[in-house]
Amino acid sequence: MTDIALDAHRAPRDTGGVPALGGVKLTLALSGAVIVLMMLFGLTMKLAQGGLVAVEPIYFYQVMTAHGIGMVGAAGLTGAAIMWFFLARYVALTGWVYNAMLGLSLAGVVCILASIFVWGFAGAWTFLYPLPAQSGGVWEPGAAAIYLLGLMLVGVGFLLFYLETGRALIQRYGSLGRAMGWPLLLTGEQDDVPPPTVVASAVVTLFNGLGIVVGAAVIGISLINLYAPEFAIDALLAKNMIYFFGHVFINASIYMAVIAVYEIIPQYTGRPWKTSRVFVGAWAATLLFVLAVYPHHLLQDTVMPGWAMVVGQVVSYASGIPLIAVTTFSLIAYLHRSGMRWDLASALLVTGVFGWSAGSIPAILDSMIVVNKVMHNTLWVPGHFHFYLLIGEVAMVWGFMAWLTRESTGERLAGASATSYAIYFTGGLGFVLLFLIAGASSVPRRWAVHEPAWIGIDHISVVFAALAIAGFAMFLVRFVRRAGTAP
Amino acid sequence: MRIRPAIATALASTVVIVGGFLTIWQASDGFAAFTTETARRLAVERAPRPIPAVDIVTGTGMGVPLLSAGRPLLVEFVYTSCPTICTSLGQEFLQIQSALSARGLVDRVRLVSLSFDIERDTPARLAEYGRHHGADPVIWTVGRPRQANDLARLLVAFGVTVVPDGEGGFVHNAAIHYVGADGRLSRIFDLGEADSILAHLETAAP
Amino acid sequence: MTPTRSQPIFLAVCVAGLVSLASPLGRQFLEASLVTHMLVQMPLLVFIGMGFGRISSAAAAPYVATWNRGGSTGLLLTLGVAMFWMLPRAMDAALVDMRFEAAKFVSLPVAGVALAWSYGQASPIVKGVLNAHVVSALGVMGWAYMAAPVRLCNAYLASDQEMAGAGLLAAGAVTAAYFAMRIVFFGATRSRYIRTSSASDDASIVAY
Ligand code: HEM
Repeated sequence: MTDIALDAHRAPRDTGGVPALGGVKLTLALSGAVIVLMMLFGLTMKLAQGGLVAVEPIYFYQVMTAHGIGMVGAAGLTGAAIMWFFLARYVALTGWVYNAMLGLSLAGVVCILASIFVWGFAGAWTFLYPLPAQSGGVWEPGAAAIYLLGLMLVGVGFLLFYLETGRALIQRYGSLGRAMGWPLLLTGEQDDVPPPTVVASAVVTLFNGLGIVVGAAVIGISLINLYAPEFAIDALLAKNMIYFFGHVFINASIYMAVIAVYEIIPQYTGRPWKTSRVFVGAWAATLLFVLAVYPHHLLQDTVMPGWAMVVGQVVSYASGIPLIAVTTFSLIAYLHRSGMRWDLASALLVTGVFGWSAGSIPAILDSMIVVNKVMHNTLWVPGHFHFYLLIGEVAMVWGFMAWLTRESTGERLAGASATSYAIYFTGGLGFVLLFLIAGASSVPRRWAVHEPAWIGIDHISVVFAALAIAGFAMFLVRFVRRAGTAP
Repeated sequence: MRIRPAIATALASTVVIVGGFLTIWQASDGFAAFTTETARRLAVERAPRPIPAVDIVTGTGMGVPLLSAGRPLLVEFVYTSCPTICTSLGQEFLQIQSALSARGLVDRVRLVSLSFDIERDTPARLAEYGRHHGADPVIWTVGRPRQANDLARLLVAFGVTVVPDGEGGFVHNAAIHYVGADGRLSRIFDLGEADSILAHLETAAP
Repeated sequence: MTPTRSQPIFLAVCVAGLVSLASPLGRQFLEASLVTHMLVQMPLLVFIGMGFGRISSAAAAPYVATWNRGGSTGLLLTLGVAMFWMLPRAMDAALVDMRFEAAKFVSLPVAGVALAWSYGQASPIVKGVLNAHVVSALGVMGWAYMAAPVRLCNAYLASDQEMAGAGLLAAGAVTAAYFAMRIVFFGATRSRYIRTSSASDDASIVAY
């Protein structure tokens, strides 16, 4: 182990000077609680599908809607917390903006939960047209309106967040292009090369900012349609717009969370994570894929759905591939012979990168297989996104939380932390693999009631899911206890 | 004494917000009518408008009064060379006509297809339009104002805008107007609302 | 805008623009179709107002600064005027009622002046929210004009309406691309991004 690594462990926690640090910790604690609750909802769905508890389909879809939006929201918030925390090391951020984002998001969450559990909205988190307006009498337009209003509040919160990060990046680097490291990419200029955190933040700021604007427009359109149904929405267009901002938003949550890997792993290995040309190129490719190709497909989609749809799928899944590859290979190179100390934080961060990259493999398969549309509406899809969200994003966030509250004397992966990690990893991996297996045997997604033939898988899934939940919940208790006292 | 900018600005901004809100509130009838058409419908419901008692020329070439005392009217605006919307209006009237005969309500109301194309719509063409759409002269009159002056008064009273479409046709409000027995326009229905119209006729005073 | 020799020319161009837009010929020409009425005439009126605003902002600053801290009063005024003229009814009324037409020719340039006096004062966050709002509002409006099952304006043809909707969507896309390009390559105008301390309200306005 190198001296630097040792120093890093003894060093103060590097939290000084982070504006709105309290807000960041609150985000982590609240989102952690939401994640546990939503995992329990997930477990409920599995129990229901496996016929172990009786849940009316109406309630199943309410639970599914809440699970989907709750998880996506928690992923977005935790990702934002990580980006904020580390970006503050390089640029001057204004604290109140973060707190405003958090406040608006929480207000949004209240609206969303109320719309689901008080007024019965159950149109899935993607509120795909025409579901919100035509519920077959299950919920009133008002319920859908409150749901959309909740999304809007969250969207405004995130817009403020990205405007502030964008402002601060531009103030420090002159333009987002420079913050994304493009001079290095294009001319090899070595002067004032932005660190990885800055590159990642700049890319996410740009594309998620645009994604939110698109999202706001879709919400506006859906609201008008709700009250004036004669203003018909082109279903395909709405779907594409929703998927555009849905995919962008959920991908952004991982792109933000991975910043924790760029920042924390070097403390363990003693090797700083460098901004190389390849690194900048991978982020630029991601941005280009998302911004240039996807909307392009979106326009074509309305004219020639068939092949354009396939291209769109491939692109939206493949957009992250260069980045995932670069991150994974760099991580392996940095870890190689570094003698890194394994504690809960480092183990989870490495696991997160593994989950992210391994989870993308089924996505690529899916995007190729979608040609014959075998897999696309099966559990294969939740399988791949649970892979990179549960083992990827959540593990990275958890790693960050563990690092924030680590013992200053340095810890090892042993005792309670080892147990929680082990059962989480076993449970999570088993759970997502079963999703994939079910998908490969053509079990459809979003079915409240499963055929007898599929129930066996559901039963085993329940066990794995329960393990994963227990592992995460165990840790969360420790985090909340320590976060209050840690500097 | 110098007023502090923060307070001054808060004040000024509030004035702008309140003023803007009130203006838009006023201009949209309390956020109820964003288009001229909805505004027109709302306006006649709130305050029924007298319709001028003019004579109209029918397919026989004779002049008859537009309003007949004691009998409400359903009026739609058409022009006989209209390829699109007027055809639907004609079909809607036919549907209402049959329903009225079936329910024995023939003397409850008169249907009037009123042409605004007074240059081209000769009595012969009006008669042809009536035949084509199956108009029963007892209940359904096809006609046009006698002179441009009457037409203008009618369009203003009904609030109908007619725009030449540049290809010899016109664009105009597609609606069915209910003129009560007192000669006042009091309701405007959309195309496709035959059921509501019939319901309205049954409840409205004869 | 600092006084330069080109300023009188700029002023003359704005005045000439306003006069030609307001002339009977200009009105007839641009108001004949919804597309030119909404997407050419009305924006031009705002732009001309912005031109006047640029020229006069330094001179006006001492008088309005107190009432327009951070540009909020002016920006709200601009938004309010824009919202009013977004009512299809208002546009219809401008065609048949001279009072509305006159109000349009006054209020839109005034909104432009207010925008020019205020935008520079606004904090980057407010500017960003405003820009984002403009883009998504253009998108929603464009969609609404294209999807409307009825004619929204009695004075215009349905085909016009669809074209206007497509135009709004295109305007939204171009605006979004413009903002994105600006922050990626030029970082907006950099000097304005450096914040002046909040204590020097009036100083910051003069500096602008
Ligand atoms: C132990 C943890 C979890 C369990 C037991 C679980 C369970 C489930 C189940 C059973 C479904 C419905 C699948 C179907 O039949 O279509 C589902 C859907 C979903 N889950 Fe999870 N999940 C877990 C964790 C997560 C995490 C961590 C995330 C994201 C960060 C997430 C995001 C989603 C989303 C977005 C959907 C799609 C909802 C929809 O189809 O509208 N889940 N989950």
